Amino acid sequence: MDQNKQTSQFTLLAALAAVIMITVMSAFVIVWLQQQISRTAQTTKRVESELSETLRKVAHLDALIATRHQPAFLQGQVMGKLRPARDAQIVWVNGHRQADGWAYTHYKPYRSNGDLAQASLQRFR
Amino acid sequence: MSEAFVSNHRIRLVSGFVAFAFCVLLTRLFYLHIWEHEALSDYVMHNRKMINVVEGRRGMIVDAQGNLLAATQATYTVGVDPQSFDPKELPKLEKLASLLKLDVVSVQKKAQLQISKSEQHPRAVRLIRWAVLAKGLNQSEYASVMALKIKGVYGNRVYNRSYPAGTLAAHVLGYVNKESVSVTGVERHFDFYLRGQDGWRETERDGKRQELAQYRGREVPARDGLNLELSINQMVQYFAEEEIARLAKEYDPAGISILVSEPGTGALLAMANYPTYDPNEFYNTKKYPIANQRNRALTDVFEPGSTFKIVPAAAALNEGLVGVEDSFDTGFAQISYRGRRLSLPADHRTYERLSMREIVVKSSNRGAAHLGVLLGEQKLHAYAAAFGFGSLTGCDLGGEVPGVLHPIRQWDGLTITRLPMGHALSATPMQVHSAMSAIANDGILMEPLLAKRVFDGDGQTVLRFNPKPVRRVIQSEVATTLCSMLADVVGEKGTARRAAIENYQVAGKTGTTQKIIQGRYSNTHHVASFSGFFPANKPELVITVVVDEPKLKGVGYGGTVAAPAFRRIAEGCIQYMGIRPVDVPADLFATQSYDRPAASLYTSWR
Repeated sequence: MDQNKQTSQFTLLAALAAVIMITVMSAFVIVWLQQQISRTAQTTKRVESELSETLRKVAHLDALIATRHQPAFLQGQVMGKLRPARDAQIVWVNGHRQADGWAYTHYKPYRSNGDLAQASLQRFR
Repeated sequence: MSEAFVSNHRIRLVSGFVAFAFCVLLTRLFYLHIWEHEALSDYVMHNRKMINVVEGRRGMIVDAQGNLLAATQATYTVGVDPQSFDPKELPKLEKLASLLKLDVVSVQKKAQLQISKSEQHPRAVRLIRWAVLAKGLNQSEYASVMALKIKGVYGNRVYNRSYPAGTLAAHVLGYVNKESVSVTGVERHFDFYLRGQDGWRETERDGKRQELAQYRGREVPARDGLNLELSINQMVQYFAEEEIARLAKEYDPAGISILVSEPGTGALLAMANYPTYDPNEFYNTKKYPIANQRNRALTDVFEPGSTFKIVPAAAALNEGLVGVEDSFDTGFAQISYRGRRLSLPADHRTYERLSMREIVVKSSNRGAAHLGVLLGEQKLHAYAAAFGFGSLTGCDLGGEVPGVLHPIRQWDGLTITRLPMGHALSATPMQVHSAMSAIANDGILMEPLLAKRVFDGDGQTVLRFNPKPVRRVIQSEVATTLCSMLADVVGEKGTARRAAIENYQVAGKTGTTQKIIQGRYSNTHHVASFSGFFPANKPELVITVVVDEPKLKGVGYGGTVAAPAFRRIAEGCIQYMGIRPVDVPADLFATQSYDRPAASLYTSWR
């Protein structure tokens, strides 16, 4: 009789201890989960912020490049060092694709001299 | 072993007090959480919840080569919070002042002035939380400021539209004002595509008003605006604006408009005006008066003068009324028309007889009047309208005016002889340009094309703008004949010899118009213009130059003022775009086989 009573008391205590332990552990797990969620959210926010910061920097850099690519700026950089090619320096050529590669013909009356400037036929349109 | 004496009375008193305190606490909790739950939770949620607006960025505008013309950029307004500023960091202010290009003393004063007095109530004071130091700092400048790590010094970000090209193509681009409202130019016309759509995010904040990212709820993402690619070519635009600067310096005119386009598509490669402005400083009306923002190529009208003579010439040829070599008696000052004697306009010198070709080449007013009389009111008006005079060209920019082409019922007795020489009507530079483009384009009038496509952030085309033919104005053969006549205008006997380019056949027409000042044609105020194209037998570019009131000794003729400007722009375009002199016979000079195309050969030679 006593043994049965002891067994049931032990079972009851064990169950109670398990319930308490599970409850406490669950509480900790919930807190841990909340913390993880919070941490992940903060990380996401930081990454978003960094991304937008990077995009802003890219936009700034693009604008800077565009400013440096302005014809007026570029001309200022090479002032006195470069000049437009003279008409006589330009050799106009016709390109024809052939079986063994490309063949080029160029026009008279444009006579080439030693001081040549090659005009690319690739149109800018 | 001693035992502490504890009074039962005292225990009861303390226990009762603790129990009472708990009861008060429980009651308060009950009151807050159950009794006033709804009202208080609303209040709390109102304080915690917030809606963050996520800004959608406005799209970029690029030229035909992808060069950036307009973009949205973050700028910063830097200030100091004197309440947070630590006086130990005073030495850092010197560096800050030099970065912001400010006086050190004024920066120190702002950083240390903690209170301000009200002007209305001298005894009332308030704490200064924010004193602005500098506005409009860019990303790198702001990074330098923040690198100093001065407590209380920080910036607020604002997004502004920036135009890296400055004044280049200002009238085409327009601008977006400080309230993010697009005001003029393509910024306004294509605002629907360019503007971004703001998003929003529901979230919560803590007591320090910092966002608690873990409580983010519903979110509608922002949508960035689409990007716009223009047909404008930055380099060609630069040629035009460089030429405008030269003309402005040389002739100090009231205004200049230059247009460059491809006749086949109507695509505008350049549209430049003088005076101009910098869209980055649109608000600076002292430096750039508001009148400078007018796109004169579309909004200002002038009597086209001799450039209009292409209309009666094309009409007479198209109707088969005259041949190229038919001649007219231009020695008489009067002509009989429908039973009336009409006086004919004078030329700058008298020509006894002029052929149809010579009328165009020598720009004879009297000859043009003969053509007008030959055509009659109906046909002359119909052709002028068909060439686009008196109606909008349809250019994708706001503010365009249709000019004036009076209906026939409003014509007076002399209009039939004055209209053919470009009087009695007014037109915009764009209309003159379109009319010349129609001749260069085999007789087909095109709608000016300014935007090529709308594309998204990945570069994918969302919307493409295709060339739009408006109508065929004249037959193809007539256009070819007229091209050869206009090429003679730039020849040795023509009025536009200064537009000639070596090895290229140029065609065009000059115009010199007297302005009407106080109701009379002035002898001192002129509009000099030249509209032409090249190569004449296979037109690649049409260029129109209109100079309003050039100041020089004598008359500012189109052939003297505008034609050289045309030549210089054309020469620049030939070099840059690789336009070939097509009429040169393709005589074989040398042949050689290579395994690569010419462009890559060039690269490898370098």
